[in-house]
Amino acid sequence: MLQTKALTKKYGDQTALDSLDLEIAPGEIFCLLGANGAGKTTTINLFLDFIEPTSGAALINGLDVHQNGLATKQFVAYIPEQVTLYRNLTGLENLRFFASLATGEDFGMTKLRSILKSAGLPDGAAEKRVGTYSKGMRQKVGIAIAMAKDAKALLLDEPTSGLDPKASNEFSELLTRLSGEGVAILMATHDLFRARETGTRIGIMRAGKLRQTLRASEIGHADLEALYLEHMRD
Amino acid sequence: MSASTHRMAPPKTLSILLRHERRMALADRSLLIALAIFAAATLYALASGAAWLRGREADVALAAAQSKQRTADFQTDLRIYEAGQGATLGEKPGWYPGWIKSPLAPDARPGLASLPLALMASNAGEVQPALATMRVATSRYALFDDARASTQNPATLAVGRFDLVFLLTAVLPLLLLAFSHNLLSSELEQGTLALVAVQPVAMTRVVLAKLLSRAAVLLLPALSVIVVGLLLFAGVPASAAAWRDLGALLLMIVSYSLFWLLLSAWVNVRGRSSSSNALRLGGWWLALVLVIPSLLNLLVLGLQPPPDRAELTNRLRATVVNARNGGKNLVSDFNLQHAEQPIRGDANGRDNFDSPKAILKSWLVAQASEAAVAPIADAFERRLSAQQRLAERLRFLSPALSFQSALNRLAGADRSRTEQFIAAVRDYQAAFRGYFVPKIEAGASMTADDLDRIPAFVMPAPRRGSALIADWLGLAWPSVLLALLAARGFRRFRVGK
Ligand SMILES: Nc1ncnc2c1ncn2[C@@H]1O[C@H](COP(=O)(O)OP(=O)(O)OP(=O)(O)O)[C@@H](O)[C@H]1O
Ligand SMILES: [Mg+2]
Repeated sequence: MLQTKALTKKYGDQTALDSLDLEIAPGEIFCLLGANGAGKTTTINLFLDFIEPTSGAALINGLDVHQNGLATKQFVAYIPEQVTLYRNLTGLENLRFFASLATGEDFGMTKLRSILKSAGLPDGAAEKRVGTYSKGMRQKVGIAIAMAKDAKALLLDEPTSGLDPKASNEFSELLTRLSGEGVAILMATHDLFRARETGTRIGIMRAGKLRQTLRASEIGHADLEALYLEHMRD
Repeated sequence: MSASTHRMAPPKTLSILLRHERRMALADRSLLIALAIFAAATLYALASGAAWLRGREADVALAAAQSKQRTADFQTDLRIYEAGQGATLGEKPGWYPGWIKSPLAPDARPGLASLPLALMASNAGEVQPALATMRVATSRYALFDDARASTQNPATLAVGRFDLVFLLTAVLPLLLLAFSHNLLSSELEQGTLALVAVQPVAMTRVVLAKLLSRAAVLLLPALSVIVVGLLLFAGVPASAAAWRDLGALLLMIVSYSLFWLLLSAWVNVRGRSSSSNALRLGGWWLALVLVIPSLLNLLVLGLQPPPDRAELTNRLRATVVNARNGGKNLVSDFNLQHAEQPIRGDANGRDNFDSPKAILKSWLVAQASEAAVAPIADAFERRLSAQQRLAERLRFLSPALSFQSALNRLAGADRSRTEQFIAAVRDYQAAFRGYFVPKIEAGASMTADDLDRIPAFVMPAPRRGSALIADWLGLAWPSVLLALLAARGFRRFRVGK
């Protein structure tokens, strides 16, 4: 579902992403680990066609993102570290706008409310202005948009950083549920514990290169941490 | 599923985006405040324009009424003398003064007829001659001397008036830029644009929705206030032509506004910050509204220095003195050519100022000096006109100039309307002379009935169709260019760097 072919991004003579080859199948949760500046956000932004690749290609559902920007966007949802919504609108109004923009359909209010509920937004919050929301509540509206869109691929850039453990846990459960429904998920994160708990595969990046990929089930938490640190050391 | 089955119907996204933009705009209180200030300024500009116009129209009407009254008084007195009852006027019995019978005496005050939208342009209207002073012997080059003396009041010329033309040319763009400079940058800065850009909707369409909603939210109230203000201060349009003028005005305002909105859109293409966009747009405003017009002014002055009116006046005076000194010869030459009916002094053979001979002499001197100054004065007028034409052609370099030109034209305060008025007054002068001069040359006296048949002045309707279209094209070409540049830019627009 999500695929890259020798995907490379250079800023001047600095290589932010170096010939990345990656394939994420429906139902997979791929967790991308790596130090600050490793190239995680760059990878996600290339999938979103927010930036242009220097060479290589990012594909969603077999379509080159750079050639078919608009067409690929119907399959994909995106949750950044900070889900920024329209502060003057309520959570419900935000969802209504983005969901109709994503699908061209106007969902009824009851449908939208039930999506927000299943994304875990507390009762009563839907009618409040987003300006009053906590970070976790905004992340949940982001998830609700992805659910309303019925996205086949989900791109997450450090979605749980700054969430309290309970919220982070709920978020992981949602991801697991979505992957169970066949969504392909790419998540950049610094949270080794979450990555091992939630992910099906884990990639470790450094300086634009994907150094190692492994199955989450194949490794214990302590081992993962040791492996990660080892990659970061040399 | 294939990509094509998922693609949505385009008009739907646009209406979703428009609904969203409207909701966001209505939540913005500063918009209401800005619109209220703009409305107040519009009404003020129209009120002061209306007061100025009332003053000018009153001057024109008063001059015409006074001239008419003088003619009527003449007529009354002539009838009394014609009935041999001059004594009732306190004169010696049998006395019938020559001056009252003189064809040189009647005067006319042809005035400029205001167009329905004249109140918009008190600045340009202020320097327009609106009233002529005419007797048979008045030089065709001196018809507007009185008007010029009264309108070139240095105080009003220096300060300028706050008229609707200025408000719409200079201030309306600021209103539009204030609410469109961050068309895309505000969402880019807030971060909401990323979430929009993840949806299958073209950025050009997002921007189009924003442009349309800004246009609607700003222009509908602004145009309404302008229309209401015009109805209030200029009255309901009384003719089809007046309705057309109003329609043309609204079209010009909408086109000019679109230019500024498209400029905002184009400046937003680069994905720079709102403050950077604001600075750049401020620079554009300064350039197009102030700097380019001033530079063009200097350029025109350099290329076509304006003729000096003081110098003209001096040269005219010298020429007139020469012509006057040759007055005696003019009469004898005339009598030589009209030997069958020579014009002499009065009944007693005396050469009084009001004898037919003196009257003829005045006319011949006037005619001779007019002919003598014609080359100088015509050259002066040609240079002035050439200068103004050059300035007019350069208006295509700034949409603000084209727009201002269109509005002045609709108000009847432009060069061509002024020239049309001057030409009409001169045509009228020809008719006026055509009526009285044969009497002078025949040594005839005027009768009371003659005064009934003086030709009347008619101000022709303005001719400006093609010039208005040219003005509009001056607005339209930069907009088309900007629309193309912006559309291309947004097709390539990326949320990230
Ligand atoms: N617009 C840009 N111009 C120049 N260099 C950039 C730009 N954006 C990113 N980079 C560089 O690309 C490299 C990869 O950055 P990226 O944001 O992908 O890292 P990351 O893995 O997401 O880091 P973090 O964990 O801090 O979010 C970094 O060295 C960064 O400095
Ligand atoms: Mg990052």
